[in-house]
Amino acid sequence: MNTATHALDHHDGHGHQPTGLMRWLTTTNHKDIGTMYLTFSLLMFFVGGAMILAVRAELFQPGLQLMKPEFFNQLIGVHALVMIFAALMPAATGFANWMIPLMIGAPDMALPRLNNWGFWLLPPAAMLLTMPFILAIFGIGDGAVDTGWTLYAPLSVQGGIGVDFAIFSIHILGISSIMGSINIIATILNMRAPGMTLMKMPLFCWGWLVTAVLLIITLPVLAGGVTMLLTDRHFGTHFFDAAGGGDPILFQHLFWFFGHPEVYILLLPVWGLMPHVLSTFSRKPIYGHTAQVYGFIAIGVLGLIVWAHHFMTAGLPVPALLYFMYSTMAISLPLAVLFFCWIATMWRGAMSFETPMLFAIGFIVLFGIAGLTGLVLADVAADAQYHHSYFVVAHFHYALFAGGIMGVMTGVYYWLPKWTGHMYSERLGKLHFWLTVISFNFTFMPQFFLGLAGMPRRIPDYALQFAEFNAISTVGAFVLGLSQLLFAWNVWRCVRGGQRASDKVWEGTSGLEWELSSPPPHHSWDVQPVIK
Amino acid sequence: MAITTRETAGAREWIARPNRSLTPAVRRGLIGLILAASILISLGFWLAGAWLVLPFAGLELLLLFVALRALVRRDASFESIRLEGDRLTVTRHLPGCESHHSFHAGWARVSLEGERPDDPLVCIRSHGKTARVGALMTPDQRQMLAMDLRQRLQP
Repeated sequence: MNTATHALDHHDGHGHQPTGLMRWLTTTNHKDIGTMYLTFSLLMFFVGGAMILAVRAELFQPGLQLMKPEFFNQLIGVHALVMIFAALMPAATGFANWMIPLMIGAPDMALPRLNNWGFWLLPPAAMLLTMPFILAIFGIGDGAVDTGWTLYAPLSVQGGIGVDFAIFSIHILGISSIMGSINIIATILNMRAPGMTLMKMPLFCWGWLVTAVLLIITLPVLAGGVTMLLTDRHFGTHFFDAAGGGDPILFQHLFWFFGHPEVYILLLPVWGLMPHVLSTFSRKPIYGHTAQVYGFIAIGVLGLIVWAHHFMTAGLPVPALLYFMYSTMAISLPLAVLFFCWIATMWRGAMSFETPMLFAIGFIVLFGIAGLTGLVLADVAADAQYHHSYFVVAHFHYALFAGGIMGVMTGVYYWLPKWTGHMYSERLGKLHFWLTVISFNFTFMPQFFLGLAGMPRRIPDYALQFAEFNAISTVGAFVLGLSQLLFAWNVWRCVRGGQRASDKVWEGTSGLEWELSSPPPHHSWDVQPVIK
Repeated sequence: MAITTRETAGAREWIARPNRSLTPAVRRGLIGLILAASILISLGFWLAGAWLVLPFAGLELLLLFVALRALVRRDASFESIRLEGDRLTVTRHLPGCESHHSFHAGWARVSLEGERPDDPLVCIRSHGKTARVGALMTPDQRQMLAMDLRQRLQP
């Protein structure tokens, strides 16, 4: 009756742990890959930060002191691409890798090998992005991409080899993001513990689920757009060349169809994380779990249909302008629901103010300013005045630094004791928070006024009337940049040792991830948890 | 990882399957949603002159489809041990590994052993044949299964 007999290797066991370099090169463990994403993100955060400090140094005084305008433009463009694609997105993906399996009771990500490939595409992509700087030193090419991160045609069609490097880098980063997104969707939908229905799922996972779907829907548009740019540059097509029958505005549609949802791609994981932190340190359950889920979905859907508010001065017809104005303003409704839920979670709670809570509150206040100034920019008439001014720069830094990077720091301080098994230095954490918040406002608040006064963005020189606010902004930027070294030092100290963290770490925690030891075992959830 | 037991007249069956929360309806809904959105967007851009979006969307959907297929294949895995009368049958259906063994219940011996002592599998052997099960079970579940089998196989 024995119809088939195979020697069955015991390949399903979980005892083996590779060590050394091979562990990191070949790992399929979600925690290792999460750690690699977060480390890479921190490294690129400092690379992108160093670039913009050079820019701010140039802008300290009017006139050209430190660099040529071409190099200034390259630093601006690569800073944005590095911060968005190589710092913020990998940080959020690092969180997803570390926390989603722990939060939903899964032993690992659904597609672990895909996970490894997704990460290892990032370093070559980052090298491609920054390599033209080095090639230029040896006389090859004329430096990195100098069109800003938006790569607008026809400027990018005429640009140097930096544009080609950026296009290939974006393709590789896109492939990495697609792999990550598919893996996250598969993990969340297929590997939840028995009893964890979608509506019982932690909000962080919900934020990432919407993010992953947005990425899958929008990335082909960016890939198509930059490929068309490449063929315009090298293969004689005229997609964006008006003289050849093409349309340069088409590139703006393609870019921002991806670019605007990208804002939510960067922010939704942070919005998902915030309720957990606020609930923990308010010692109250999350307020409005269901409302926040629908808020995420509504923002994801609306985020797909508002892209043209980024180029309302490009000559769009009036009905289109009205549509994009009203639809953009409509996003404030679900976003307001999230804000109210966050505040209601804290309301009458037994709050304490450890570093993650400080960053979370700082996030709410400063990201609120981003939301309000976004409403100003959504107004067609006002936007005609403020478009391409420093008002826009200040607005999106309140969104992406205060909303994105401070959100990531909230998550790092919140989960670091769980990841490492050690407590970080609370004193250093609080010092880092106050330095960050104060210097951030010194950096970017003056830029609102510079924009209102008419200073255009992406220029290395400016009129004398803008000198004082630019000087304040530059001093703020250097304090902001240097204070991030405190963060890196605090994280490093925590990884190396320190006071032991308990399994629950914080008094008010709830959720599956806190049931595991700190740090969690290499293979977590050997025994399947069940949600009742 | 979940073990279910089925007991019918004179027969008992233990079935281990990987935990899965993705129902076919949700899977179809997800593919339908992404497919519809991607086609709508790609066709819109095609009409605007950006036809290169469509092939990228197609490639991406292909990758998504392949990934979900791999999941479905993996989710079809199971290990089954069926004790009926004096027959003990062990069926394993795992990716890259299918086997079916049949033992006389009176002669079958159950032990916990494997290449690594800290993570043993359930071994059933008799007359020179060996079946190892437990790839889809936790260590605790393997111990419980081994104890249960030993009790039921005792004469």
